[in-house]
Amino acid sequence: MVLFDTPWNLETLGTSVELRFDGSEKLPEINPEIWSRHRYVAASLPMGNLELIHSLEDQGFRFVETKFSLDLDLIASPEIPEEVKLLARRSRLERINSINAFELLLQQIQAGIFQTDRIALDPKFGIQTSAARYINWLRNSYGLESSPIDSILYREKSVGFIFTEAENNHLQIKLGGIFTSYDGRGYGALLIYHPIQMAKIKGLNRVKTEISSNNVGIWRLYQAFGFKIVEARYLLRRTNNA
Amino acid sequence: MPKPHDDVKKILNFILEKKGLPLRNQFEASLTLSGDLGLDSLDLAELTVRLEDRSGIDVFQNGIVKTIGELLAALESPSTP
Repeated sequence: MVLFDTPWNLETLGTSVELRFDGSEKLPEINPEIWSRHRYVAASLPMGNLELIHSLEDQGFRFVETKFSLDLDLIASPEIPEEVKLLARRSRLERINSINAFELLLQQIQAGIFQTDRIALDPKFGIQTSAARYINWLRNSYGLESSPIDSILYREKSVGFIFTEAENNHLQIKLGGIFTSYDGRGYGALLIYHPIQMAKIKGLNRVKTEISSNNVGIWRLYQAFGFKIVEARYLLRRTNNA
Repeated sequence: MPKPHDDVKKILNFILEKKGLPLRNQFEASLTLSGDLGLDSLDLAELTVRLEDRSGIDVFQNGIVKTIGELLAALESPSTP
């Protein structure tokens, strides 16, 4: 088991930590000191290890999601779906590099884009805490050259955003969303199309991201672009919140 | 000049055919795009673009469109952007 501090959660979930299991542990005894020091403890473990999941449940953890790591090999030249090509002709990215544009984005997130997020769905937290957590994350990343935040424009209107980072030979989609007022139009495909184009322009070989089992719809979309699941991990949490 | 209903019917049947689903002679106003017709995100993208191309109208400009009836209403009486 490896223990990671997660300081970005401090303002929303309280002091927090993530325990990452490699699957070889059978019945881990969590050091009780962790409970007194952290209000939110997440546990990540490989899918399929029910003995470990039950042991964690016995120690007060609750299941929140299965997290899938996705990978697209650009060298294999996957086909962009025809419908997406039509949509993409009317769309482009625009780097968010003014405070005004950034604050407008945060307002959209505050309005609740990420309704299937594990914190949003958690009865102990909810959509407002979830939104605050994403806003903290983006505030800490805003302006970093290595991890740009781009607005997705459709017919020159901002309909969503992507937050990406180039790492070694791949582009990581860290976060992205279509604003709720543009739901139901199929714009979600642009969240995938634009990072693929960005990676190609940068000469990168792969695009990677993580999605949640709480959002099955987005998996079908990634699949249409040729993404493969390369890892699946259960995520549980224990919280000291009343 | 084709009526909005004819355009919608043609586009929806084109999408249904691509999905391997049976074509429909009629699309009742109460049918929902996602639930009853089974349109997923990519299908909705295609519908959005093809309707824009044919009518020049953004049928979604006044909010989310869920049913055939709402779609036709938006095409027949578009509001000024």
